[in-house]
Amino acid sequence: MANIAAARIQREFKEVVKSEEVERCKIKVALKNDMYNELEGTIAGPPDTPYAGGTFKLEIKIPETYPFNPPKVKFTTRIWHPNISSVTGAICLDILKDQWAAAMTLRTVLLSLQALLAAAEPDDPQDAVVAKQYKDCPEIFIKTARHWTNIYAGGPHRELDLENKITQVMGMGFDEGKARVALSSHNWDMERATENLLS
Amino acid sequence: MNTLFTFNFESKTSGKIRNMSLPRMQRHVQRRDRRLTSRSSSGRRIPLVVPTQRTRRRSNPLRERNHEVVDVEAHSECIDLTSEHGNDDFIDLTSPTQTRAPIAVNDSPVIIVTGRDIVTPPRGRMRPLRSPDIENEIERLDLDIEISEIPSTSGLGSPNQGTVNSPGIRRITCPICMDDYKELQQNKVQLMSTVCGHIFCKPCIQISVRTHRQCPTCRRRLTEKQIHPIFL
Repeated sequence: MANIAAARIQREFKEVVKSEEVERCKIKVALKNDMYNELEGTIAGPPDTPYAGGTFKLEIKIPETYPFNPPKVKFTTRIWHPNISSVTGAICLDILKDQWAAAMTLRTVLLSLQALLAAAEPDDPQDAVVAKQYKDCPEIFIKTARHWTNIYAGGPHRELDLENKITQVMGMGFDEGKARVALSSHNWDMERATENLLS
Repeated sequence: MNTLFTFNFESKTSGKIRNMSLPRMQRHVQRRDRRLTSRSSSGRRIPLVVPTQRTRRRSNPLRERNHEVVDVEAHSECIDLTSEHGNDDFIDLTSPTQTRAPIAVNDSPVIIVTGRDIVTPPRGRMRPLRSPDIENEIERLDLDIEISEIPSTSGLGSPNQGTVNSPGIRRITCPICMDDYKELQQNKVQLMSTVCGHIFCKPCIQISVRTHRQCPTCRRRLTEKQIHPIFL
């Protein structure tokens, strides 16, 4: 069984490397070891989204039963998205769970993830806080997602007012990452964010 | 030419015209005339009632002529679409002309449609009545048709449908292990097709159906009996 998995990953790897479409959408796959059971995927943030210009890295683990069972995929680049955990990078996507089909490939998975970035499903969230913000305050969501893309994924758009707030909270002696999470989770309300950090 | 135009004009704008003063209406008529016919008779005043009545009378014979011409193909004088004269008479899209039929036939690959129709697996009570041989035969027939039609539609298929497209040629590949037809032949592995028409190699589809009970390509529910060998 493991034999099939390794053989297929080898072929898929070639397919992804060759594929023009993959080149155009800026999707990459790199092997992490010779066993073909761990890979690193890279996807570019889709244009016209808060993720545009960012580069997101993914950890892909191939189970022994691949391709009959889906690969285990999670984001290693931090991202603000309703269907991706802002803490762990875990992804909520049906094709990575019960809707997997053996004819799917790493290429289709990466393209699906790129599509997920462009079309979030807030009604089936992985990160409830992000999903609530996405639904209730879409403008704040877009700014927050753009800020996270800028900080963690090398996105081009700086959100100076958000950065100022983080600096202020950091001035109270908090860690930058924690300050960012607390402010992002409380719609950038300084008071509530600091309260949360103190509790 | 002119008659057809005024006919359309009458039917579309009669409501507007009723509320217009006469000079304004005439300007309106001229403007439309210029725009639609491109050879306006400037300064020609068209009275409110006369043109519409005239067109009504004339448009009917015109249309009758149209049908006549379509039926009798030898009447090349009228079917000639390259001549400027009469061109406008025949471009009337509202009349059910038969002249458009040949164009539609060129576009639609009729054989493909019938092929797909054949393969649709019968469901419900009808199924058990058919012998597996007949079904195999039907599937094989469908596959022949699909393969012969490849050059025209090679751009449409997705590479993950059990086959890989390259210009003009379609290579059969098992989408699970990704072995192509040659490798499978060398390894003496049997190709199998599902009732939903997707092709895999025997070991792969057997494992897949046992573990997931669905088609790896389209997710249709499958049992092991709904897979059969296929010979290309």
